[in-house]
Amino acid sequence: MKLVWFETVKTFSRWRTYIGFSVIALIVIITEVVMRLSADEILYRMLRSLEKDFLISGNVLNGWFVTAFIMNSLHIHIPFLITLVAGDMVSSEATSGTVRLLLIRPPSRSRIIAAKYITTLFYTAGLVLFLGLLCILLGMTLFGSGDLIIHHYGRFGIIYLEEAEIPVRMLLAFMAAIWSMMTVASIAFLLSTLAENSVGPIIGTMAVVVVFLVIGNFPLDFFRSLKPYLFTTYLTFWQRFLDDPIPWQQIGSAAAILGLHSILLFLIALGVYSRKDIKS
Amino acid sequence: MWFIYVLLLFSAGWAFAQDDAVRYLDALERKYSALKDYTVDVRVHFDMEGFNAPDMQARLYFKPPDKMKVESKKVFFFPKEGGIFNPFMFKKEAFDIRLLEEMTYDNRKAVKLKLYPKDTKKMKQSFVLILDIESHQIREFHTSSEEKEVKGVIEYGKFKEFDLPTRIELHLDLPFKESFEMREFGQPAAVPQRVTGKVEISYSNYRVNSGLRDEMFGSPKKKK
Amino acid sequence: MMEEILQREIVLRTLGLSKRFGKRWAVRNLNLEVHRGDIFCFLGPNGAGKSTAIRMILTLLRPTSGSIEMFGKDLHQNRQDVLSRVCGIVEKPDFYLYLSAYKNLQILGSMNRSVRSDEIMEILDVVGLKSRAFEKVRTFSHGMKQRLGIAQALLTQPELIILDEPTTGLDPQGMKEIRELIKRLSHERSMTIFLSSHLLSEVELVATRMAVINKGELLAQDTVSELLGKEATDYTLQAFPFHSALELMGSLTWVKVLSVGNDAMEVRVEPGQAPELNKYLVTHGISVSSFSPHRSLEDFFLKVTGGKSEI
Repeated sequence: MKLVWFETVKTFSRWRTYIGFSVIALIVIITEVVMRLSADEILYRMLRSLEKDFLISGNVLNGWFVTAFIMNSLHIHIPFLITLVAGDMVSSEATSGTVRLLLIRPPSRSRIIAAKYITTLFYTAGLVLFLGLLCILLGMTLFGSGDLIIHHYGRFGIIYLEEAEIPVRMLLAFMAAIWSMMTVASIAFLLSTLAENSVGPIIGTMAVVVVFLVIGNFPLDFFRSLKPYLFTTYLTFWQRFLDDPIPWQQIGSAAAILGLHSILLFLIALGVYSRKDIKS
Repeated sequence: MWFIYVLLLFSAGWAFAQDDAVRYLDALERKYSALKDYTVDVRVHFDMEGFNAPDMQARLYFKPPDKMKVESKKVFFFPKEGGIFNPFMFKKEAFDIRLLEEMTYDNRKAVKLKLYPKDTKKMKQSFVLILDIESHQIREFHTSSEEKEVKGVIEYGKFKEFDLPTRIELHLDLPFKESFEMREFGQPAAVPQRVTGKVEISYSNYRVNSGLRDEMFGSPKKKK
Repeated sequence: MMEEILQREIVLRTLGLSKRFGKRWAVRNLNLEVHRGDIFCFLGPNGAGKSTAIRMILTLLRPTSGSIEMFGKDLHQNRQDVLSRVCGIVEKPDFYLYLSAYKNLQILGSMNRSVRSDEIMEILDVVGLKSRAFEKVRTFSHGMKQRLGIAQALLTQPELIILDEPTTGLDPQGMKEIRELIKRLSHERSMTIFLSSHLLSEVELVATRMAVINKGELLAQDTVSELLGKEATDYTLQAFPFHSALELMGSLTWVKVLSVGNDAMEVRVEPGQAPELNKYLVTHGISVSSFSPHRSLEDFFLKVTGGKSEI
């Protein structure tokens, strides 16, 4: 626990750690302010098809909708911000030379690497929660609350979620988003144990995510057949908490697949780092 | 010669039928002529494919000829066609009317009329109405255009001197194009889809002729 | 007696320690013995394998073969226990530059044991950094970082400190300070110090025992005096009366005067005869004010490394 605390102190003493938080704050604030200013246009574009046949009243463009909208838009960018820290977590010790002070201490490498991994997960959770809280708080301030009208995941359809049940669903969705991002963080962490600087792990992780996303979305049968085997297919499983009814079984299997990825990646990182010769 | 006779006979029959059809709409208009406005609580139950929503409640305000307003604390969806009871929309001057059938509906005398809008720029779809000609009630309506089809069945209750709906069951078959704002990453490109299903609307707590002012309906929205 | 027993206790022993990188053996069959209280110097030219050996001793590198014992225990089987009694600096002391000296010590020290705030300040005082305790290490000079490195080593109250080239990159004043600190730690805190160096002068000045390594292989290992005794032959002599001493020297066959200055001369004596010469001069009424070996370690080093040395 002490090691985790030290890693946390180190992580949050570096300005790099706050890049992610700053970028998220900037994006969320700009997006929500622009959405507020363009509310009429967004509502029109959002509802123009429905408004032909339905009379729609109530606060459709509300804080919850804005949160879901930003989450949808940012799920490709958040991994990048996570890799900034996760990819640097182990490699920075090599870059700065502090690894030579750290690994000659009594705690085993396994404990040190576990502490670093836990800290990486804390950071990941913190970043996603920060995004969620900022989206919701600013969204509620600018747009107010209301029921959530959202697209049904993966198939045609509209879902209407009552305001009362949204907070719990959002909480679950953000927990799931954290779970997804932990897999991305685990990739960056593994690459970080292999590298001597943070550039490689950051670029490497993003390359993996982007390539897997492209392969998974390529409109050819061969690539479609690969989709179930790509972890990126499950990264957006948090959205399923906004489905009605909540597809628990699919959520469970997606969470299990991502969880197994994370565990496996961590175990590889552990194995690699425990045997690694520190030459730097 | 007999051919001309038959033709004249049919023409006369058609003219009489046309007169009857107009008379039915006229009777309907007269029946509700004293209705100046109404307010009603509605509860909407959706049973539509691709539209998962709980029952919704709202207060609906209506003032002839076509002013309407919905008040709801929550997000509220309400079918425009058929959801709002508006007996004033079937003005005899606005349609070419054909009597399709004289019939019995719920053991009462009824007629089936087809209404073709005269101004097709203003109104694109035609209507088929089943009118109870004993109590001058629209019992069923069916409207269709190239794009959409709406069918409604109306049940009535008595509120003051007016027969007003207590329940309307709508069957919808509508086109739907999702907007990009509602689509997430990784979804296939949106293709036009249809929304089909049933909407059941219950009406309660009518307040009739309470003197709703025009201002409360606001000015029509300008859309970009 | 007790001192002798302590002196004999081996705190670090490597047995056939070897490390191979690809086809190249960086260290081969290294057998070292460091006794309690030693200032043990591990001497060798750059690339000789000193750092590789130290990294293996501090678990940064996995040996290809051989074993390491510390305090009589196998290092890899008793890693936590053994490393809690050892501390070291490998190459240069790199710290978390974005943290203060105090925070660095708190984090690094607490990985060995619980450290109190006053302990940290006391150690910083010992190395002369108390006034900079709460400044970020980013602002420190190389010498200050080196002292902070020693501070973090001291903070863990180790029995054995391992320093890899501790004076590298320092100015003469900094080198002197570190040397004095090392001596002080050895004498005042009874710590065993294992340090590597490629600087011969440094070894001469601080070491009690030494080992010489080249191309990964151990060439010699013994007390400094023993090794010097075997090989040292050239001395600087200051004596009075100077001319009488010079005349006496000329009559001895086992002594050769190499050069004569105003008040000192360079002489070469047969191996092991230096004490005899001293005694001879004194018994002949010559007052010997200085009789010191002249670059003997360097000569020794040049000899055992085949001339590949750096000064």
